[in-house]
Amino acid sequence: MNKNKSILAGISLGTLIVIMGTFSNYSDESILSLSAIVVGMVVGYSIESKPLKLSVLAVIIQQIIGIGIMLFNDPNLDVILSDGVITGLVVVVMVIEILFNILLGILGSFIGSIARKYRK
Amino acid sequence: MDLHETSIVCKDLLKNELRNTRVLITLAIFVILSLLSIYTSSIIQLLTAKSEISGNIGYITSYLTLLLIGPVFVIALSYDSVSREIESGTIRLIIPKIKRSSFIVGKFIGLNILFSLMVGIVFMVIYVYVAIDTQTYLLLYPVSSWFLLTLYFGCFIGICLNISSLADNSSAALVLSFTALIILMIFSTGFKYEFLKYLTPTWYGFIGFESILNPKADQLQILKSIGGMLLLISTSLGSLIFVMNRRDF
Repeated sequence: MNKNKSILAGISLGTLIVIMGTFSNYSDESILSLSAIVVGMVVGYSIESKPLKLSVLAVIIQQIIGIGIMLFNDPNLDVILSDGVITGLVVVVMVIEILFNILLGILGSFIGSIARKYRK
Repeated sequence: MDLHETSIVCKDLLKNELRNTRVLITLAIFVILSLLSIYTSSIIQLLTAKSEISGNIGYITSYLTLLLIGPVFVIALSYDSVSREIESGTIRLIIPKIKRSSFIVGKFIGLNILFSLMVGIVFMVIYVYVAIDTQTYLLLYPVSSWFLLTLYFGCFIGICLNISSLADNSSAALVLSFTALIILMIFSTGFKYEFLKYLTPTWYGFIGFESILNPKADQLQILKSIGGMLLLISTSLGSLIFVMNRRDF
């Protein structure tokens, strides 16, 4: 599959998982981590050259979209945006969250590339 | 698996590793850092009342240091032990002559012996230091710490060899090994998902440490620690043999 198409497929699938998780009231953190692994697996499975680097890119984009969706549906959004300190803290926590999920995405990509290799 | 073939692979690995300058420098840094951690025990002694401390404080700091920085050295030495052979093509010459399982188990045992020796040297020096400093001649702490750390490093060697035999090249194996290490360290703290700490060797290392060095702790924890680490080692060895038997070179 084409590189851009597989990245797009990964991001779409990850975002779909986040949307489903948001509507079914699952824990935000676990849904974001799960979606990062899925994005990594899709990219790792479909791209042959340098899947790790591309999965990092795809996971970053997907995580930003996912966090955006979750914040949009958060009933406490007014409280978060009302105070600069709270907003700053939330941003720092989210950056840490994204960094952790990038690592999970790299592992997902590795699992995906192994699956492709052993399928043959 | 053939024991004779395994011992040949193991000896070959030990010979090659001990001739390699990179490996020798890494091992020297490992031993020096572990020994330097004894000095932190002097700082702890200054900060704590004398009645609260015992002669085993040197073992506590060294054990904790090895628990936290040891896996980094394990990765530094074992991340390319299989992928380097695949990249250079030497595995194609070895595999037809010996069984694949003997090859990978030999590598595992060789690396385990290497780290066991290093930890042994570290704890021998600490034993002498503690014996001179506090007139304590108990062998229980150094021997049990050495045994637990050997098992602990065995878990990480298994994980590294798994990644090394599955990765496309050595650089990918290095990146993935460090990624796995960071994730395992984060999971061992119980961050986010409490149940995942039971899958990490670090947590078993910590509970073993607590049961050995804290007399008030639950002594059954030591069995949990040893059992958990043995289970992790056998799982990683099983998956290693499976991967090696399935993989084309």
